Amino acid sequence: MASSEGLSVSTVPKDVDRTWLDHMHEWVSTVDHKRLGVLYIFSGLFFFILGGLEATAMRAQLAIPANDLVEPAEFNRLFTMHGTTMVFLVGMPIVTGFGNYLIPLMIGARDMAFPRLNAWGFWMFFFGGIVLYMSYFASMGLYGAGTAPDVGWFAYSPLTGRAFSRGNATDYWILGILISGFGSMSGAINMLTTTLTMRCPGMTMRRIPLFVWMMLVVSFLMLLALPVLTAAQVMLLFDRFLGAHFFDTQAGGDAVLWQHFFWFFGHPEVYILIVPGFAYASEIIPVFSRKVIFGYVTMVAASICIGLVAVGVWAHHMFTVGMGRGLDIWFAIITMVVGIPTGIKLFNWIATMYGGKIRFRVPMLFAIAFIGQFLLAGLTGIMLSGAPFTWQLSDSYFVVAHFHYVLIGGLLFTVFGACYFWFPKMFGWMMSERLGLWHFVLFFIGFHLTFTTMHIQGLLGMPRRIYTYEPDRGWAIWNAITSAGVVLQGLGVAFFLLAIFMAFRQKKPAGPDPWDAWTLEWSTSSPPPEYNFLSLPEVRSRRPLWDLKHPEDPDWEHE
Amino acid sequence: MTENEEKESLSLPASTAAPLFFAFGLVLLLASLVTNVIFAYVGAVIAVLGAHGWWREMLPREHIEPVPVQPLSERAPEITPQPASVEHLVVGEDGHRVRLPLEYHPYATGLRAGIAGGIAMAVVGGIHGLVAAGSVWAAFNGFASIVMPLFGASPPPDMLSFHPGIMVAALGVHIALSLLIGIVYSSVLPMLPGHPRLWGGIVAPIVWTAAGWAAVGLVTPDGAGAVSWGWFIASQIAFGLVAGEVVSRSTPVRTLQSYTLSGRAGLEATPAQGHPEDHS
Repeated sequence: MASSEGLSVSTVPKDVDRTWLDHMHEWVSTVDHKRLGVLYIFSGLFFFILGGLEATAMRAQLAIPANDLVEPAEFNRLFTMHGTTMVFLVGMPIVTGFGNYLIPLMIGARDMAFPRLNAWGFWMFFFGGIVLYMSYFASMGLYGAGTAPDVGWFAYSPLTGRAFSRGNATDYWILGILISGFGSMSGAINMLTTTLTMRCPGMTMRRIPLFVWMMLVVSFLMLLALPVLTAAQVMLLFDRFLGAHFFDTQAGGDAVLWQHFFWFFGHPEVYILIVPGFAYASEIIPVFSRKVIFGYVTMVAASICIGLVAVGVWAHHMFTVGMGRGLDIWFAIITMVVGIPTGIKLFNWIATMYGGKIRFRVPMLFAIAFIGQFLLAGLTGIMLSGAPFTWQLSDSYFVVAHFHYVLIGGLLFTVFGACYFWFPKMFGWMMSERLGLWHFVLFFIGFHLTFTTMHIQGLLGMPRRIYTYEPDRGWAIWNAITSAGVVLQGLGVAFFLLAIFMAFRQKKPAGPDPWDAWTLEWSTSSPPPEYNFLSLPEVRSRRPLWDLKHPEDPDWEHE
Repeated sequence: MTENEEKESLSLPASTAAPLFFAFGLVLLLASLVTNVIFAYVGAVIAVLGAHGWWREMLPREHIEPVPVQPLSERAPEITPQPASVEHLVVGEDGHRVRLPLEYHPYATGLRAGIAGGIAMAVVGGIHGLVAAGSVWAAFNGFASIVMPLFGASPPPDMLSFHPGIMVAALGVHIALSLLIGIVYSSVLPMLPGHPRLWGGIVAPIVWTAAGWAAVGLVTPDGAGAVSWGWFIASQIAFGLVAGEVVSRSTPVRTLQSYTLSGRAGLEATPAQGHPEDHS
């Protein structure tokens, strides 16, 4: 180790024969934002498979009435683990992973502001997930009660009290989420600091890509919402281990307080998950429409508005608690207000496509599907923002359909689009268009079979979380269709995994800029070198690569 | 972007497993709550070692490692200008559907359209009464019989006679609705492609009829059967054609968007009315 310019320098042998252990060591000790981004994304995909299998088991059970494939207690564990996994171990890491990978590249930086904290954040998330899934094996082995948690992904009190949740399954839920939450918070600090302090020359806040703006909003939301959940979980641990009574109504505590804490986190969490979907769409749609994004400034303003409003709507999840007319009206109105900035975004994406030379490549197909599906998700959201409507349909499959339209129709479709869009940058190989098309078509049809029909089940009165139902309720045909859709979705995901596998196998070179795109990440090689840019770029507009490709008509003359 | 060919390596933060160990130690520490106290001891030791390693990565000097610069063959090639010309979208050019709101019809136009359309509608209603029931008042009483129960009032006792109170009530509702719809027409019709008379006289009546049919059935199920829908459509068409005619004859007013900044700020006299071309 030598010392140079006030820094401790170690030399690393390169280009020697390395074993798989060397490669493994490189990955587990990495502090490179790109590798950590890839680790986040692939960990998220791993948990996505687990969560998907849990959903498949539930849908198999509900496919026909009076089925006994899954026991009632196991069904409770399945929907708890499915919800928790998809929100905390799939959505969060994938969002953080793309942010990690792309933010420094997009703003012309060489790494994140805190590379080691970045690594710590990933490992906290990953170990948090492991702890949660250890509950399947450990909570019975040591204390002889329960296996996986069965309290739902929002773990309402008093169900989480010792009296109703014996054993340690609920403790595993608390600890798993608590630990992964620390990882998410550190990721947010990193993305925030990196964006604010490490932009390359010329990259003013009015020029950073919309992706970065939206991740900035997401980072703020994470820092605002996650500590509240963390505090609530610590309080719940106190209740369960030290006999505190924060949420124990029989001892003077308040069970509704948990709901307030949880949803103060939980609703911003929805935006933490969906705003990155907006971010991916905002990068994909202009590139495949061959047009500059319509209304950059209003898109930024709408994102900030969504971020601000998102922290004031949490109690619309609690209309059935009995908060009183005043609070019901307040939260109903504020929830409806969210539709305004969201509508602005939808109009801007459509206006971006309008008049463009649209290329219907796989990322664009997912983005277009996202627009329609998210519109429907928003419309049912506006319906549910009316307290009397929610009184009728709360805890029904209508609500399940609504939030799956948001998180799958909205987020997951854009995540798939983002994977096809940035995979060539991450690994240097193109993914197959043909396999991607199969993926899109199967998943699109499967999604609508599953979740469009769920609205009807909800309107027909089918409650969520029930493990079976009688044949005479009129729900059977809808449940059969819903479950059939899961099969198609599973096939779609199989094509996605096959496309990834084939990309690594066929090694079709992508080149630095396969989509003829305009943001900085496409100016460096694919995959980018560890240092991202040999010389820090200088930008003069929001589309620096456009300026270089079209010096006769650069963007900075129009911005 | 400029190349710097002189560099052979660049300094980046060195890889380290310290954050991994620190995280693992903390996790074991917390997991001891649900496993065994031994996990707490082991976790604490690993966490301290990880924290210490992390500390040493940063102090007294940050640990960095030189990363060799990519060989030229692996680097992204210099971005070269693309010969394709850029086609700019010009607002309002042929084939472009954008119509910026540079002008609008004043509210007075809407009120005039509403009054004229309302009169035309009432005339058709009166003819309907004469033809169908032999009394010009039948249509007004019929309209009142649908509206008045909504306000808790009794429907007219005799559908063919003149009832002053009922006439006033029916006229009040009819005038209010006509004025409101007139304002809507004056705002919306100019924005639609084609001719205002077409939209006002054909499309809108069909839409109103569909909406009216659905609404009447919901609000007063008995009233739906009493409505003569053919005449209803005829009266809507009369309203739409006349209102559309009034709107199409109206002279639009320029919006603030077409004024200069100083004009918007009130520092400069700006033309208040007239077609934009008159002031160019």
